[in-house]
Amino acid sequence: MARRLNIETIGVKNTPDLNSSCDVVLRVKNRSPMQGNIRQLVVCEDISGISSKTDLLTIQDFSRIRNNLTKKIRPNLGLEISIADARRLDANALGRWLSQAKYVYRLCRSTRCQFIISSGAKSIFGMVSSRTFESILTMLNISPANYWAELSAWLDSKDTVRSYVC
Amino acid sequence: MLRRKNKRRYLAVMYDPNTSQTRVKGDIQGRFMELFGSIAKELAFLRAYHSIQNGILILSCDLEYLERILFTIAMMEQPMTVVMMSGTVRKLRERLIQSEISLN
Repeated sequence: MARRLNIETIGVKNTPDLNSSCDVVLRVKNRSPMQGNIRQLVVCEDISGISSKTDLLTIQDFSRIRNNLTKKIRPNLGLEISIADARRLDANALGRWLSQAKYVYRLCRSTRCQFIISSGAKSIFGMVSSRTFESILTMLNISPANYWAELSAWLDSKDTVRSYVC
Repeated sequence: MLRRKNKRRYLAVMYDPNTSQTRVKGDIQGRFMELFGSIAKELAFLRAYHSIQNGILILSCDLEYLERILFTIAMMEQPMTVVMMSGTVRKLRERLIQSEISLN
C-alpha cells in the first residue's frame, strides 16, 4: 500500500510480524538491540518524559505544552504532528491546528529540530500519499522539496542501530 | 474570442467499502465547503464518476483547486486516501484496472 502511495519509508509500532516491501522505521519507547538492522526511533508522547535518548516528540495537545516546549526541546529532536488528530477537528479548530503547525515549524527552524508531519494512520484508509503530504505542506507554506530533503537527512542521522549491530 | 476549457484532474479515492459512495461524495463536498466556502466549492466543480472497483470513488475537480481538494480529503473525519491521480478519467480507470486496487 505504501508503494502505491509513493511512500518509501514508513514508521510502524513494534510488531512481531514485519513483512514489508518498503523501508521500515520502528517507533519504540526504549531502544533495543534485538531488531537487527531495522531502524528505530525512540518516541515520546509526553513532554515531561523527554530524555537524551528521545528521538521524536509527538505533539498531541499543543496548547497544553506550548510554554514548556521551548524549554524542553534540544537540537536534532523530531517534533511530530499527526494528521489523524486534525481529522476530528471542525473548520475553526482545523484553522487553529494549521497555525499551530506553522508555529512548530518555525520553532523547529530556530532550534534546529526536525519538523515531522505524519499520517497517524491506524488503517490503510488513514494512510496519506506523498502527493497529499505535499499539498498539506503547501498549505503550511513549507517547500515540499526542502521538507523531504531535511527529513531524509534527519532519518539518516538517526541510523545508529545499523552501525553498532554490524 | 479564445475559449479555453479549464484543465481538470481525476482522483481515485479509497474509502471504507462499508460506506456508500453517495455518502462519501457528500461528506467530501460538505467538508470542502466547511473549509473553503461555498464559492470555492462551486468553482472547484467537483464531480463523481462511477467506478467498478469496490471502495474506490472517482472524483474530478478543477486543476486550480487540486491542492485544496487533496487537503480536504486528508482532513476527512472518516479516513480515506487518494491512491491515484490522472488528467483523464479513461486513463485513471485503465490504471486502476492495471493496479487492481480493490477491497473485495
